Amino acid sequence: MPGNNYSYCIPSTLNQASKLTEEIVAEMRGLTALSMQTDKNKVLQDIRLLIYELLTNEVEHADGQTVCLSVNIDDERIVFETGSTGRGFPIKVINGWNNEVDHPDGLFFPPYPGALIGKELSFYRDFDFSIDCIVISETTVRLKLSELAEKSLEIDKINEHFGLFLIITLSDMVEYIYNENGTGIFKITKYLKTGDNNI
Amino acid sequence: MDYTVEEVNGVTVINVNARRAIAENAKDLKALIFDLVEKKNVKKIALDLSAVEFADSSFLGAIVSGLKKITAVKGDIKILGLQPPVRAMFELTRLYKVFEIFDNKDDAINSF
Repeated sequence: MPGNNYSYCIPSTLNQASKLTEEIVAEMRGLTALSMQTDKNKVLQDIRLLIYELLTNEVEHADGQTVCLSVNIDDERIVFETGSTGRGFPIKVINGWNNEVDHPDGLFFPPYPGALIGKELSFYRDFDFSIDCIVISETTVRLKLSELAEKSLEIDKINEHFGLFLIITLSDMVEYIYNENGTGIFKITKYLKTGDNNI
Repeated sequence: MDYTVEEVNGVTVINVNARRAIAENAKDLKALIFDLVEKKNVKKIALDLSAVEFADSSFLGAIVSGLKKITAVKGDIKILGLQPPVRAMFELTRLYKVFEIFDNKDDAINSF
């Protein structure tokens, strides 16, 4: 893929995630693709939050002692990829507000059951939205947000985990791709706007 | 701890004295609110975030956790002093629908 490519690996700690986030944002600040943005500071603010949440999500949920991030940026988009090892991203089919798993076997790890391919599953629900999981193949899922038709502002229905929600909100596409060698990649694409055109 | 606590007109004001409000200080905030509610019967908290330039999801999670704790005893948490990046977080997560947010301390305290 053309454009500027960066790769980073850090020890899996929150402190290192924070430090790397600031390093990447500082590096991006000087890039031509970012300087073309109509609201560069807002874009950088969103990118800072996106990178930080992505890295801390890996620190908290991945098995390894190292977290790796690659960044590809061109005039049209930024693609972030984080890799991890382990059982892979679990699909869960939730049952109602409490986000409990609605399946006797619990979670579905990759390779995902063929019967789920093409289905859109409610993965996580908060007071105002749900995170839905579209099963693309046995090894790939795409995550997206949906507005809830029936909202609730009851305090006990508000969840305390906003990381994945922020990652999806701040980006244009979030995919998880599981490889046969046991590694998984979160691929996050954020399109850049030039002038009034959303490319 | 990155917090100082004061009482003003019956309202407990928690000042967050950190530029970055992230997972490391989120645990302390949650513990502090739980402690205030459980041991000092606090029901009115104004959370002053005016020093905070960056907040992450875990910090917001700690505030929500504190809100659940204090509403269980019919109390409330009001938020004040949001810098633009932190205000953006409340908007992104839609928590502005859940919390009352004020520009300054007096307004937050007088709102109880």
